Amino acid sequence: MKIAVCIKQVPAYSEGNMDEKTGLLIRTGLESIVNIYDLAALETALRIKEQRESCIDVYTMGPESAGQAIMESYALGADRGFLICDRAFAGADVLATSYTLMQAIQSQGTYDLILCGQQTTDGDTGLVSGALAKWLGLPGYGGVKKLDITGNENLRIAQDMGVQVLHWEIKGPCLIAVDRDIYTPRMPSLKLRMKARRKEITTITLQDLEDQDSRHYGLKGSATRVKKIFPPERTRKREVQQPEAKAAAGLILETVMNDQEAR
Amino acid sequence: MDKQLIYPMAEKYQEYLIDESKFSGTADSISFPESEAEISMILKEMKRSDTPITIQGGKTGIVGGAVPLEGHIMNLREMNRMKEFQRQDAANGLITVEAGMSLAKLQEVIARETRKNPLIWPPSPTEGTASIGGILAAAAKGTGAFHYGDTRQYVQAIRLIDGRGKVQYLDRWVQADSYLLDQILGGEGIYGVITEATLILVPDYEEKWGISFFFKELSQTDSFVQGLLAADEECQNNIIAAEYFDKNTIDQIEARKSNMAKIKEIPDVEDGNKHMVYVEIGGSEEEIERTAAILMELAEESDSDAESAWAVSGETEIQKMHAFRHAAAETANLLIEEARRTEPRITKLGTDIPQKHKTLKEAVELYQSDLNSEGIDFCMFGHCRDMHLHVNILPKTYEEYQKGKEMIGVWIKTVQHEEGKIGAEHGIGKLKKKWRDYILSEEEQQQMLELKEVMNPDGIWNKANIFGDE
Amino acid sequence: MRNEKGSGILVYLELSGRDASEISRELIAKAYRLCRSNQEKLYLLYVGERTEAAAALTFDVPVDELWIYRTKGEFQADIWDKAFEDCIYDCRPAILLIGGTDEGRAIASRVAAAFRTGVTADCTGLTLDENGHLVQTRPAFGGNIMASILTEGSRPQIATVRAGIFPAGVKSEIYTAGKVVQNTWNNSNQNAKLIRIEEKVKAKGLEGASIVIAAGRGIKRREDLAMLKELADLMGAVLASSRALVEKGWLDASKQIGLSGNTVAPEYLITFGVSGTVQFMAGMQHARTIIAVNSDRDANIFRIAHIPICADLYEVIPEMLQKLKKPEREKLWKKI
Repeated sequence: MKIAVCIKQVPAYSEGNMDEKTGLLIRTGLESIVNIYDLAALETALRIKEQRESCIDVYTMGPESAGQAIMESYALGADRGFLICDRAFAGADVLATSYTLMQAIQSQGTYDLILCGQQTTDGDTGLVSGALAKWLGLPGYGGVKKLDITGNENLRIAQDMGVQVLHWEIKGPCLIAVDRDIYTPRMPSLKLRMKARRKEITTITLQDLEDQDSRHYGLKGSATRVKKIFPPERTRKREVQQPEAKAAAGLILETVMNDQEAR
Repeated sequence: MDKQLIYPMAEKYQEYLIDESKFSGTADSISFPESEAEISMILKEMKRSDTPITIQGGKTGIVGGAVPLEGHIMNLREMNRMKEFQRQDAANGLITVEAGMSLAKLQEVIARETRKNPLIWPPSPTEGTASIGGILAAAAKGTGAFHYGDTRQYVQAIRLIDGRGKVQYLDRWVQADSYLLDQILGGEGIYGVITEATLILVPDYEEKWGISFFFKELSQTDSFVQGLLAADEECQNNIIAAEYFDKNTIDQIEARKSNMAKIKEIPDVEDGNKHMVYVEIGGSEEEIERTAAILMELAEESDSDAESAWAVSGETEIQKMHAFRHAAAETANLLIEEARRTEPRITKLGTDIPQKHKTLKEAVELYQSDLNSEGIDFCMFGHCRDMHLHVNILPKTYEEYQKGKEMIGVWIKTVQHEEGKIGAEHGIGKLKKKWRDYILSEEEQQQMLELKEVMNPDGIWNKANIFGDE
Repeated sequence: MRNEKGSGILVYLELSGRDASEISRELIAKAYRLCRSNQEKLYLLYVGERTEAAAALTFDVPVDELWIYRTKGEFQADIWDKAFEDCIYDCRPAILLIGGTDEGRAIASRVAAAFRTGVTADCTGLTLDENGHLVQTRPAFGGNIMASILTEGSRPQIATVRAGIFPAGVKSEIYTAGKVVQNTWNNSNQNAKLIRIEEKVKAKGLEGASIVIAAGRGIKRREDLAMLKELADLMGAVLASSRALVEKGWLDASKQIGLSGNTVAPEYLITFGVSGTVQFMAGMQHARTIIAVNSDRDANIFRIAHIPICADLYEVIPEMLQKLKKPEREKLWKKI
């Protein structure tokens, strides 16, 4: 099976270890790690590979340093890695990012399955995978918590839709966006990590794509633009109060319920 | 004193009567001074009423060092500021902090100040909520101890208020001070309270890998560790830590992993793997590659599958492995807590005995055979390079607890007989006092008592630590 | 669609029972307010099986057109999106608003690609600027910054919004749609077969809970936890604990908040009798609003609590229970 996995780097911060003042992670400064949802997607691909002959290609879009994400993927068992990197691609929104990914993937041929993480841990809202599926002309299934390959190259998936879980049998090719709970990602293997040092990473630039019109990529190719940024409204900190029990009860309920009548 | 500094003991201060050893004591009053001036005022008051003071930081010790047996508790949690940071050049830095700052906060602050060309403070016990003052008082070390050496080397200066009320500033530049410093560090507060410390920072490695090797048999693990200890100098220099985990420890951690945020994403160890050795290596890219290749070969020779060996890199992932190592101690403590619910007389029972002259197999079997013959639960983990295993005895009944204490006594005597002395990473505090003669030589004890006589003659500070048998 | 002007707002209508779903009602109300200032039309789009129910709906605000596409079976993004495309080509709205559900996100992303237009998910604010463009506001950089985003050249401007961000209309008026357009949409899909539908049991875990109640050492007896459990149930909150009570065996370790336990970041965290050790606070300091109740005025937790209340939990909790059990109360909690 030819499988493509899209991965992205995010800033590392351990839960609870975020520096409130700078908003940055505490111990590790500006370290980038692979988005955990994407690790789950890669793990899904690796499990498929354990069951049937497959080739796993990993794609990541970013600056040169994003090559680190591909090295990590090699240490986990990915076969080939593609770094989509070009100044023209920078500053892309959902539309331009998904378009770039589509062009890059198509430049390498056709795949039986495309796997992505549903969202990222740094606040990304999980729209890129859906848009990517549309660009590729494929059906896309998000929120996937279970995935099995059945005998005849079909997929059986469990799709979490909030109040219900839908179980489908799908004929490929398609794009699947996985939930992070689908699998606990494996640890990188020492042997593979050592081998990764010798492995090549293929860089894909604008010149490698079919559509070489730079207006379709990056900032220029984005339909949305950030007009303004401002600090969020933080809950104001009050002085310690010593109210009567009834008043205290009212205050708490009102705060949480935003309801005047509670007083 | 217009501001109230001393508070009478009340129910809400109950948590200050106990430390991580779960040994609990009593006290009449407590304070949370915010400055040396306040400490001096409190000390004066206590001297007036002849009240002994127990110094507290993070209360993370496991020998009862911070547990009061009487009198006053002085908790330094409010003295947690950074005073100064100096970067002399790319490879050197000094940071001055108040003694109540936690290790985790220290590491945060250092990371923030040294984002480009990161520096670290090497002594790194795995418990992040330990206070710097406490770490220095116990001269505590972490998994990198063998590699980085004694904690004392990484302390440039301290400020201390001794038992006479004298504020001392001791800096290594001055030779006489240097000697005193090394005495006071590890002195568990019997000379006075450390209020501030200037710590020596060194560059962190360019790259670090954390490799976990798994073995089915103890003999295989042993042969791997022996190979590691015999590796060439270049390789040795790149090994920051080598930690052993037995199956009981691994099982314990896995049973509770899902409730521990930092390690819940670590997959389970494959069934059948009964031993784990975590090796952390640091250096340049070439050094890492060379060392990793050597370790890989050693593993293969010891029948450990290098393909299934975990190899993480990058600060975030390495911190996860540190959290895993920390979970070993934490889960053992949790089991003690559970046992205490039915039998409150049980406290933490762990060994702290380096056995440099034994192989891993010999050390493990020594403990294992005794514990198994009595049928008492335990878990074992620790440092491979000085064969410093922490055997945590997990008694379920008081009888088992007493038997466990006996066993530890036998082991201490055996090791002392073989090695001449036993080390004590965790300190002596109150719980290890009866083993004092095994841990400290007569000469060492003499020196300590002499210094104590000078600096803390009435024994007002930490009277019940190390010396003073009740 | 590049350089298209477009006019009006199209809102994706989802059903819940016989009514429009909560999120749909919120978006319809919001869209109406935006339309009113622009004097443009309000369109609704329903895609699904329950077309009679959709056609029979009444609304809190005037709706110009209701578009209904009849499909068969469960939601499939690659079928629903084509219904959207059909509708959008017809009404040419300037703005498309979709609820931030799993379905909504899937549709929004595909429609954005189809029309080569911009999409912003999980908006916390929507307004119109002086040129009538939609200003989409949402948190960025892990929530430390708010960003205002514009979709300048292309249409429709697509935004998804999660439930509870905008208020639903107040049902004072009853309007039916001005015009109803019905279509049957052929969605025979050879490539996907639905095997079964599994109803989800909503597990009450700490992760993702929007209100957490944490009990601490101030709880004197195991039996007292009963009133906390009751409070949690009435408030739709999840009960958690500091290490102290887990240590005593009164609550399971899975409930522990702290450095060696769970990390939570709910909308509201209410602590009762928690002193606030460093270990505990490391596990909850990023809760959006922290309300702490402790009888000790100097409790450490008061340092980080937004609303520090020095009071006896044994008096406050019964008062809260009493207020909550008054009949009007129960209705107000359905939103959370």
